[in-house]
Amino acid sequence: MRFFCSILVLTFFTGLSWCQDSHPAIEILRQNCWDCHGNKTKGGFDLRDPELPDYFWDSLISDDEEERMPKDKSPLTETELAIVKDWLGMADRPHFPEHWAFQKLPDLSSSDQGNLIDRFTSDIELLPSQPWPQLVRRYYLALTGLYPTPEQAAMWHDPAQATALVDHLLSASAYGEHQADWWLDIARYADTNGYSQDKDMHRNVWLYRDWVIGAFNADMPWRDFVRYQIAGDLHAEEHAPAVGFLRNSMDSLEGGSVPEKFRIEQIHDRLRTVGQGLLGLTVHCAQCHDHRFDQISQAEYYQMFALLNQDTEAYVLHPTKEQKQLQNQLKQKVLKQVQLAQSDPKLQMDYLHWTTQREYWHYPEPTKIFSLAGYGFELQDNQEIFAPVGRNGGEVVYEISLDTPVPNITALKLQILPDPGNPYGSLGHCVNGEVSVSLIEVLIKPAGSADSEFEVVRLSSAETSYQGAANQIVDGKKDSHWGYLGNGPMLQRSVDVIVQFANPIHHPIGSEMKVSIHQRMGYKRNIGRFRLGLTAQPPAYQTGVDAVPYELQNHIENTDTSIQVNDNYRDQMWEAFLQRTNVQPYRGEIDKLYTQWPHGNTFLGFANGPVQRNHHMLDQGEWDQPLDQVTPGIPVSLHKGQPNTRLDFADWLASDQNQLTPRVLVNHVWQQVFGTGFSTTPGDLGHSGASPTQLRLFDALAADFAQHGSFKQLIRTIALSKLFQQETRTGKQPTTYEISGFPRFRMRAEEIRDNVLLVPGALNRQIGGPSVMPPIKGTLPMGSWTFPWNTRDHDRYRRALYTYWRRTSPYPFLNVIDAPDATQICVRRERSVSPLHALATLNEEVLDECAYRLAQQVQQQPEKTRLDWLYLKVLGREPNTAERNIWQDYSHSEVTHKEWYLACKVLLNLDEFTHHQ
Amino acid sequence: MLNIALANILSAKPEAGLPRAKRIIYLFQNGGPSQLDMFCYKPMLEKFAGQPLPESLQKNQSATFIDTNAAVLASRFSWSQDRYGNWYSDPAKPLMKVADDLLFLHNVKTDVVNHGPAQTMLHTGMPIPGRPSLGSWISYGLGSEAKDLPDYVVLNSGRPSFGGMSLYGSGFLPAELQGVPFAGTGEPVPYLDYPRDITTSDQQQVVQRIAKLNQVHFNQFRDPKIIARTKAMELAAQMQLSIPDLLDLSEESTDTLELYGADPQVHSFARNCLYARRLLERGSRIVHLVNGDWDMHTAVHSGTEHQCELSMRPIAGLITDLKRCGLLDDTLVVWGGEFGRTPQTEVSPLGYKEVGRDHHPDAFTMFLAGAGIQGGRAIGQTDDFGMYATDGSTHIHDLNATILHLLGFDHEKLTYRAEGREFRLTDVHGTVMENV
Repeated sequence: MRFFCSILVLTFFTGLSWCQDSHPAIEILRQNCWDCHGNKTKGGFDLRDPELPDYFWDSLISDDEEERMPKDKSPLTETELAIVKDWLGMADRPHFPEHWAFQKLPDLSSSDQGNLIDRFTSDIELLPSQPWPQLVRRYYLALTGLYPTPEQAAMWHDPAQATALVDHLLSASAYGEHQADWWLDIARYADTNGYSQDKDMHRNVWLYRDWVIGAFNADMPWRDFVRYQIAGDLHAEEHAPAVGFLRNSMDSLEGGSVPEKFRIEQIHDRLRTVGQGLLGLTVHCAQCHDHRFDQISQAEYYQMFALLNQDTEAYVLHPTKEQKQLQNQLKQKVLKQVQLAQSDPKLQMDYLHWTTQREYWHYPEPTKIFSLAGYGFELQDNQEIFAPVGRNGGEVVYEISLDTPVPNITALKLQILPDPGNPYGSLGHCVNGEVSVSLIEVLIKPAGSADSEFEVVRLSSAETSYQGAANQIVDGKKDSHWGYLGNGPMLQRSVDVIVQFANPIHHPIGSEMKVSIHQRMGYKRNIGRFRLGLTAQPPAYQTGVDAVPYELQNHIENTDTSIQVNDNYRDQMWEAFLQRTNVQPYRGEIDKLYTQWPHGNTFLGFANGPVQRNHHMLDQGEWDQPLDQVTPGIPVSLHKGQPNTRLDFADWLASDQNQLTPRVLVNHVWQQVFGTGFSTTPGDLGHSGASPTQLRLFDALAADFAQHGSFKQLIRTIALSKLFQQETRTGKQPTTYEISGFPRFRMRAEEIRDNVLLVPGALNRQIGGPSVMPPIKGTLPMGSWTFPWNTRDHDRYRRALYTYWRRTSPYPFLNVIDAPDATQICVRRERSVSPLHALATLNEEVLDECAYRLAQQVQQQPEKTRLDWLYLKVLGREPNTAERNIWQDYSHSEVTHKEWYLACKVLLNLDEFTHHQ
Repeated sequence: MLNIALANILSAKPEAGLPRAKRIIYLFQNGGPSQLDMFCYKPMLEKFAGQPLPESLQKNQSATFIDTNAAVLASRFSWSQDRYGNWYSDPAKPLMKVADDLLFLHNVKTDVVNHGPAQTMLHTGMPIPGRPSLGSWISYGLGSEAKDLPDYVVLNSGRPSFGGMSLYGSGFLPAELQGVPFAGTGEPVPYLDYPRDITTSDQQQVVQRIAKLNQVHFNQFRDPKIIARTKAMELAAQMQLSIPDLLDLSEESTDTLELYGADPQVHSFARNCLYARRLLERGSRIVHLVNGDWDMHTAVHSGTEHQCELSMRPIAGLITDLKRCGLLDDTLVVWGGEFGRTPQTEVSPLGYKEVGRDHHPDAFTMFLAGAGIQGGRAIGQTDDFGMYATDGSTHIHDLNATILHLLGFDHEKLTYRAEGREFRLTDVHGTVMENV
């Protein structure tokens, strides 16, 4: 049977000029022998060898069951043997080809005109064309994910309009949303970190989702689409959010987590996603060891790993164009204030005095920095302590041990510094950039003495350089706090907090001091970068909180004869002077301007500049088990030459050398349109993946797509092909893609919800923005559905694509209808049959509301036409006779609202409504 | 309800005589109970109390918060032995009632030390979410059985688990194989309640009409999935009756309620244990209880007392009750957390007075009952401090292989093809424990 299929396929395609020489024996051997003698080269030969040993043939015809091949399978039939013998005997035997996915894409230099797909199916008997009105519905659903309204459907009354209709739909914004929906499964898009429960797990990444929608709508060529998702930040600012594709990996915030472990896990996840999602290769299989039949070795896995392991993760600000304009305007206005002040003669002496103050503070090097919450602190230049972003929520204590640099210490300075890795490039880890301190405790003891010798240093007061009730941190209470959230650029400027000791410490130099900084406001309001200073000066002689800010101190040139501000920083210095010494009215005016500052939204991105790391193979992929060192690169089987940065990697993926990605993308689009891809393993086109049906057609489409690069053109070709326009296939639907008939398959969960909302006109068509939380009755298994925000009324009507996605407990409606939980890449959704799914569509609050609204609308129609109106509205057609019989009880004139409401529920739950067909 | 026919399941069924169990109740204890304050009696802890552990034992410890030289913490409870020689601390003593049925595993070991990953490891064999859960594998293996209750039910009590859905998710297996969490209050299953003023007969009418209209559609398209989905819809309507019936405890006698210590009106672990029995009686085969708040970095002693008070009597009650209804012989009961707790003290920097214990993945205690397992036994020895196993460990993969074995599956053959290769619960590991 198989044999005949392959012969048939061959005859279909031999008419094409680029068709390779082949032989039916090859398909027979691929089915029966390839697993051992192609993938694994058992028995001392490979089917691809130019010469095969004699025992190859002997074993095929052996009578000895022990010896006979194929092992543990039924022997080849007489016909099959004859074909194989014919092949072996050929003088110029066609070679057993390279695995299909690794072959070069065919050259499509044919001058043939017309639809590419039709050229392949011209000899095949297809089903007749779908009746036009149903075809219109199919077009709408396949291209935009939404049925046409009766009014829209009426506009397209003539089959000759097919091209115009397809072009119309491809230019609708719903097209981009619909395409983004399947791509986000691959990108494992979610609005939370995953791993551990509910707290502090939100993250802003929706700008990535909106980027994807925008890219599809703008018909971004696939090469850019891929390139930017790997390294958009290194190409152009507007494409920076695209790296959300990489950054979507899960992260752990659990107390006691080792940050590096989870950073490495994320890179494994990213490489897996690039492998399955873009290359169609299960590269992650090589994480632990080589596989004989795998294209990618373990060393090569870690070379690719190294390409993605060159960055620091960050929440990056992304103001819109308008926001940037406003920022510039505000900057100009601030500058005006600063220049006014500079020309104010009364301020000259104060300013001069301010810039020439001496620093009476010591910044000793910490001897130990510790946090129970498992921070990976880093001691950097100038005694700056860096606490990486994004780990651990809840209550956090930093403990810093110091040796006292002077006797008679009178005060402690906590200098909180901005870091580009923090949200908004601010001072702390909180999503809005806020930092908070609940309590500071200082202990002191003689050098080398036991911990029991620690004495508590009494603290008397605290003040801060910018704003807030700093005294709250020395009141001994953990439930009162000082918090800082500067306006505008003040968010990214350092803040000093000075804590006065009640009495000077009389311990000698070198005594051990321990400073504990408590933060229990939650939501990661932890300091991200700081340093500690100590002074022995009495308050009156300390350089206080009005001192020159840390980031500007270097710009004061201190020569033997004079102290001078670097000209380039004069305006900044003046602004800091006005702020820190509170010079009115200037500071008031500037503060007012900064309250209008638009920050823009943050997205998950990378901090500027690559990080130098040594790259190693990792034993079993474990972060703390390095093996041999590797250099960044792409596997030799895929590429000659040596990219060594993330940017190179992105460019290679988008280059002609990469023949895999066009195949992967075409397979996905096919799967989206027809419910099944050419290959049923879209994440694995390698040796162990499912062989594609219609390989030649698949290859031709991929070659064409690689050339023109346009998703819209690809979909246009598909939609206008006779293949797409066929009647719906009847009977049991095959599990692989077959040419005859248009398949029936259930909608995605999102499509079901969107279309129920669409029918009564409830669907809110707003595009993009933060994810929404449609209502949920009761609680989720993982806690309330009100974090990070409450349900807003219009949220219930948005397209399901915008639903807030919480990995540990996804929105139940979508979840029970097979939407993946986004913990890792999903290349293909199941379409399960389950009563829980039925409960969801029967009873969910918003869907029910839609049935109710529709019932109100149907009652406004003339009495006789109500059922017809409803059928047209929901199914785009009239009821047939059999159906009318079932609705006979609705033919009388006293059908109540309740009855119509039930009727609407019936129609919105029909198999026909929820299926592509 | 399920519609899966897969040839490789059949090959996973081992030889005659097995399976011993047809269903499973998993009593998962969320947060990591302290074996050293419940079932693992170590007099040496008293001797060393306040001092560091011998250095040789500190070497390879993987704890999260404490330094390995932290002081040893003695259990403050008094201990007693059952007639087989198994130990129970005072708070755990109510369990002694079913001592005849318990098989303790004192040498369980896991790979990871944080809650989320460890819970995911225990339930899916991998520390990273995304793989099918044990329950989904079992449901997949047991295959299709039409019923009006979900096959795999999850009942929560105590704090939400750290691992979330990964504990009962279906991974790459079909979504219908994932556990269905029943909420303790309000609507027990998402979308179970009738919206607005819909009555049972309204819903029946809706579903019947859908069935008739789908039949017309089927007559045109002949796609058997149409019928399957219609059936699922009818089943859904039945569930709207059967689940409230399941949860209605009015027919349970006071003796039974007393046995579990369950108040029909109060959401509790005890009530969930009673629901577990009722679920099994009605045909569900996998009941997963997520219980407690065992993460005792502080106040490990009063905390253990409190958690035992909430859970020991219900467990004893459940096992007794299952026996009484003849269900215990072919039901496997599993008790345990994602890891145990350290012999060392954890002192809170946040000012709590009562001390706790940190996470301890290297050796901890679980127990099994039912499924024809001979009770009154213990497997696995640990050193005098309960730090490490001294006669071999039972790794999570071994445990999961054994659980599958007891349910009649060869863990190496219960596989599913995804991403171009066969996957299984135990990855490439796991040995069935011989002496279970």
